[in-house]
Amino acid sequence: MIDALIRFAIERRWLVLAATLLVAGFGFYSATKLPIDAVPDITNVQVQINTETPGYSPLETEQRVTYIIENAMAGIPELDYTRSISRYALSQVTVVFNEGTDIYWARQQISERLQAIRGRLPDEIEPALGPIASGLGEVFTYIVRAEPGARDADGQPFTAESLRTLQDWVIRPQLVKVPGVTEINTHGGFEREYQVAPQPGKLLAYKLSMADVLRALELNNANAGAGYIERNGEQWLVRSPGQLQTLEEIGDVVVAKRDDAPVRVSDVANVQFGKELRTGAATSNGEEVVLGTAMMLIGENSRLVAKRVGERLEDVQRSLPDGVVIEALYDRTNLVDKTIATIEKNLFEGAVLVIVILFLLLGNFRAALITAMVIPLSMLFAISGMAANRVSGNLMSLGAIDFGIIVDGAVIVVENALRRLGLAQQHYGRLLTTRERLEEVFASTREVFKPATFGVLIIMLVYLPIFALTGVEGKMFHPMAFTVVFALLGALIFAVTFVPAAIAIFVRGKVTHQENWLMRNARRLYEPVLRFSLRQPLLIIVIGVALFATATFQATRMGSEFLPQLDEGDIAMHALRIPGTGLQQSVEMQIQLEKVIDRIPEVQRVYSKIGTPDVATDPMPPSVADTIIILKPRDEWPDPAKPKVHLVAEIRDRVTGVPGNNYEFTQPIEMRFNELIAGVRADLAVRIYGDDLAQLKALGDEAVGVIRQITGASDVRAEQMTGLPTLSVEPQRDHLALLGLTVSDVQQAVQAAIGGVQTGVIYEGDKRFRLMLRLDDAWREDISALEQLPVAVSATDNLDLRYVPLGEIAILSLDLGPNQINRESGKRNIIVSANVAERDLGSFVNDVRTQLQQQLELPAGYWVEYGGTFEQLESASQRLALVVPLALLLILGLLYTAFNSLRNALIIFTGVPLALTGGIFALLLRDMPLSISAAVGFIALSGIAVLNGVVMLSFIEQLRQRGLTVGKAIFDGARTRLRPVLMTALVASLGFVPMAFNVGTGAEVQRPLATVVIGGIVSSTLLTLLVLPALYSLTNRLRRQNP
Amino acid sequence: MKFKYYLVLVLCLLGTLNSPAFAVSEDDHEHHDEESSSTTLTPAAIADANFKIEPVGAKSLQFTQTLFGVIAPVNSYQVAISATYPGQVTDVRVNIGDKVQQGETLITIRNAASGREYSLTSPISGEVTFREANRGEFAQHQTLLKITDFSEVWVELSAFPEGIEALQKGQQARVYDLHKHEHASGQISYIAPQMTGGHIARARVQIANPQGHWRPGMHVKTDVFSDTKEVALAVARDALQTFRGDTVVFVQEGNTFTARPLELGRDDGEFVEVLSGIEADTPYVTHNSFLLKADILKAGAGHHH
Repeated sequence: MIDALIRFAIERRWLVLAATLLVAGFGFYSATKLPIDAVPDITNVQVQINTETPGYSPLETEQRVTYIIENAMAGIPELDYTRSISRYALSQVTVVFNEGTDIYWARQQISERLQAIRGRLPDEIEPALGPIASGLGEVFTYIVRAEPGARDADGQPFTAESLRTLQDWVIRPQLVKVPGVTEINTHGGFEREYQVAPQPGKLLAYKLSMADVLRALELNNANAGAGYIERNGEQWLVRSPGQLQTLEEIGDVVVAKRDDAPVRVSDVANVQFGKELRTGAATSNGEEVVLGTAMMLIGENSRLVAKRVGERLEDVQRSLPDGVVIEALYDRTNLVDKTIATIEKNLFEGAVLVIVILFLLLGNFRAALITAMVIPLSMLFAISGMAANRVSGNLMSLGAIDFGIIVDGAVIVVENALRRLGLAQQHYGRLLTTRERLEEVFASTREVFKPATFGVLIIMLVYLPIFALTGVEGKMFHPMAFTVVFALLGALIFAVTFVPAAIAIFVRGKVTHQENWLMRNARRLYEPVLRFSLRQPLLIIVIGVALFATATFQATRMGSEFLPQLDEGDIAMHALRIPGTGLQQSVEMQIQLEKVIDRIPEVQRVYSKIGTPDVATDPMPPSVADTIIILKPRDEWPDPAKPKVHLVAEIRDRVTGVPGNNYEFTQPIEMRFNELIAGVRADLAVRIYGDDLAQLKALGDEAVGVIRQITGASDVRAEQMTGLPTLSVEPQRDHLALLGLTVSDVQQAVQAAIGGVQTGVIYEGDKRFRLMLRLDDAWREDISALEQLPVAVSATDNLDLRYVPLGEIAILSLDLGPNQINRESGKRNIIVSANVAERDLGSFVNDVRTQLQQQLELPAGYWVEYGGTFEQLESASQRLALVVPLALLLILGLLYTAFNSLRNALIIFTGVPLALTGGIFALLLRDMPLSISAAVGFIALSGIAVLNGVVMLSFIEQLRQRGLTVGKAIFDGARTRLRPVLMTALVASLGFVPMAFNVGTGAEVQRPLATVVIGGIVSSTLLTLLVLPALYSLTNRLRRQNP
Repeated sequence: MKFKYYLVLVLCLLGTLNSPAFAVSEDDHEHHDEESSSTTLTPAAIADANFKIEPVGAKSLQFTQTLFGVIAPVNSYQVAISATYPGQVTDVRVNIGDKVQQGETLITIRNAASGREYSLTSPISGEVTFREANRGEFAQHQTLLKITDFSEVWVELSAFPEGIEALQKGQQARVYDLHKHEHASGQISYIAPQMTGGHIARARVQIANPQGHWRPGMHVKTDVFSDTKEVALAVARDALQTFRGDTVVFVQEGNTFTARPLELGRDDGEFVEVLSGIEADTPYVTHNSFLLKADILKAGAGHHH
């Protein structure tokens, strides 16, 4: 089979070349289809159900809306869990499905269930599904602003309200049509509202109530159609227009008749454009703005979508009034382009280095070129595989490929072919005939086929455990493992088909067997050392073991980090203020903050989203602002080499001086992921479930006390559930009864005074705006004003008693109410989170469990669950503990089949620890923590180490089979394999040198990986060249002693 | 053997993955001392913060109550004219709306018993507001004319139990019409000893009405200055913040601002009397004090998704 394959590749070499070209072409085509983003998408399969509940406090929202929706979701097929938050005016239920569930199917299920509960929700409350977007969805952000001095058609300056109207009715409709965009979300400005603000005194004077005004507005604002009439053969449609259109028309609506005169709305109320009670705002560079965000449909190509939005914006700009500008702030294209540039740079540099090294060591430019060709070819092969399997391209998957490792197989094949060709030419003393050449290439490929294939297969195998990771880790690393495996597969196929074919075709001239001076010197250096190690195998082995032991010891003391942070270039900063901070206050504080940030020389732009946007994709309270800091390109910085960590530290330093804010630093995409995944990021999360909020809070505080006592606990905190200042207007039932009023009379009065009541819609052409009945702002400013609010008493015979002040029939009190009510899987809960310091997580969690069981007295109906990062770590460790040994066993099995000898397989296996040793020392040297990225480096290393061992040992075995003595075979074998071993080592390590010192995009993934590989290759090469022969001779000696 | 070795190593590596340092801690920001109730800002931050700072001092607090009411004629300024002796009306000299002077003849009547003609004169100066008399009609005891003097009017106020204790005769009141076009001042002249309908008590203010702007039946709004109080220490109401369950103001000491819990007395809507907790002339923040509360408590600001 193998013979047939190689023979075919050589005999039909032109066909193979053409096929290779075809594969490459397909790769180019696939590259255009490949979804490329900067970072892997780690969002789970989730659907948000957002429900606006105007005026509802958190408690009412939970009781009337959230609870009903959440319960309706129970039992949906493929459901993982549900969670919900209930906030002022907003209910958000997030339904998380099992991995792999089709998002459209899931949404369908939810829609069906929502349909069924429509009747049980309060009137006018409509749940809506959130946009079909993932954490990568926010690909483009822009602001709408007016140039200084710009005026609208009426000569008025543009206001936050008129800009918002443009955004809603001119810009948004054009942008949602862009292919790949699923939603345009808006932050800031004011939605236009037609406000009828009754004056209570005048209502009293005209003996009218709010209800009268409400009714009048409702009954006088509709068009009606009345069929058609036929007249003289013509059909005339009949309609009766009655819709209100202007403020004047609204003012002219007649409410009642008094003394034969109509009382109009304008007689008892001010009619004006009102300001909605908004839940969010936006600022940029110290000014309030209207901000729009384009959300990308799940699975689309973010670069293309962002580009299309940018292009469409230019068209949109033309449709705007003079003086109104749309300005792009955040464009994902930039980041993706940077990512692609990084990958291209790696490809190019890798290829150049490989060519140079191969040329230096082989002395044959054509052969070097053929080997280097394998890099782009296997890359294209991998891209085809990725595109076909919808694996996304990103910094993790494409940025972390070591091209040096990928070409290892090809290097071995090329090296052996050149050696054989050179020997043959020397043997014949002339250039070879085509037949002879083909025969030599065949024989040489055949010779190294097994080691090369097995080596590459083993490298692929070591990547398999990565597929066992689940959850966020899985999503992060699966694309990378997939890409590497595919690239390796491609490289392997090309190494045994394309490479021999190309050698057969192109390496025709004289192939010097004479090694160049580099190799000669290397060999001169190597031989005495090899001799020494063969004489003193024990010593060498002891040194190896000692080194390894030191490294292991060091490794346990190294710092570590779990998930790498992919640098997105920009900075996102949460500005957190105490719960209960008002929106306007928050805006003012944010403006202060932005002014400070804007003064930093590296900052190009800063913009913030405060509170909840129009579509509640990110339901933040008004006290929280997402501040996005866009940085200038590095070459415009005062110090272009400044590490980003330093810059972040500087920014933190500056903003800490701004009073009243707390900060958390992250990055735009990362922030979005956190918002969506919403897992507790602490090590341990104790969830206490129960009914009563006060009781939950008390239990939470108690649990905090208990956990604080346990050694190793740090950052123990209960989630802040309360703290929202609440003004309760509690109707006094007795008093109401005496006056003949009902509780709802009081509530309606308060509602109308503060939140307002929607009485209809006003159409302006296509645009539609709410018509609100709401008292003037003055009534809302102060409790004492509110106490004076007249409540109409309708059922009275007493003319003097037509109203009572609100303060008379209700108790107004200020207290702190629940800020937000969290539920998970259908139950209220409070989360107590803790991190662990200087102690292992497992025993800490056990301690917490026992302590809480003993000390926390839970009333009936309350229970505790444990979660947090430790859960993920536990499951990841468990899986890895199973899969890693399995993979190792598989490798051992492969080695065993290759050599038919367990002893040889085990000897080769020893390559792994020493390779790891070098990696650990390299990390120590550069003071880097142990990270997953470094772990991937270790994985790759194990593969290379085994590969080298296989190459070396298989040759020694071959020599022995030819009848050489053990000692001779070892010495000759090791000597002969010096070149390929050095070559693979140099190619793999030098190919990584640029990455190891990279500071640009993707550096954080590449640096640890490259560092580990470079360090590890140095040690593993030493191992292969010294320890392996020593071990081999030692075991042989032992075997001869005890046959 | 070596295989086992490798296994041990891999498990070691896994063990380090399992170690606490691997976990991403949510936030490392520094925790303020839980008990701290002051904060120190940089001069730049203070300048940017737009604070207003005033010393605590003596204030005269003015307590007002807003009441709705209706204009009514003063009841002694309203006279009903009827015939002294039954007889036939021979002449009516005035019509509704006519202004009349005291002593001016209004109606002449022929006495039915004596046949003599006599005239009725106006007992007050005022305006004719009612006329049920025409020549030739027979006048018995019915009201023929009403003369009302609008030079002064009553404001009939509805006082509710909640605020009634604070009302007293003689308190100053300022009356506004609902368009806030005009206002007039007067004193509370009467507080009804009984409640109407069990819920409201009538209070009355008499005001001058030289232009006739205050027409009886008109709805008005009235601020009653129910009390004034001279207090030695008062702070602006806008300066107050609730802070860990107390009501506080923030006092300035150089660049440091400290929350000072106060025991408060009465409140006139603008200033609040301080009973204890602060000394006279202490500089405190009257504007934007929320920022200081936010700064001190900021360690507790978090955001769980």
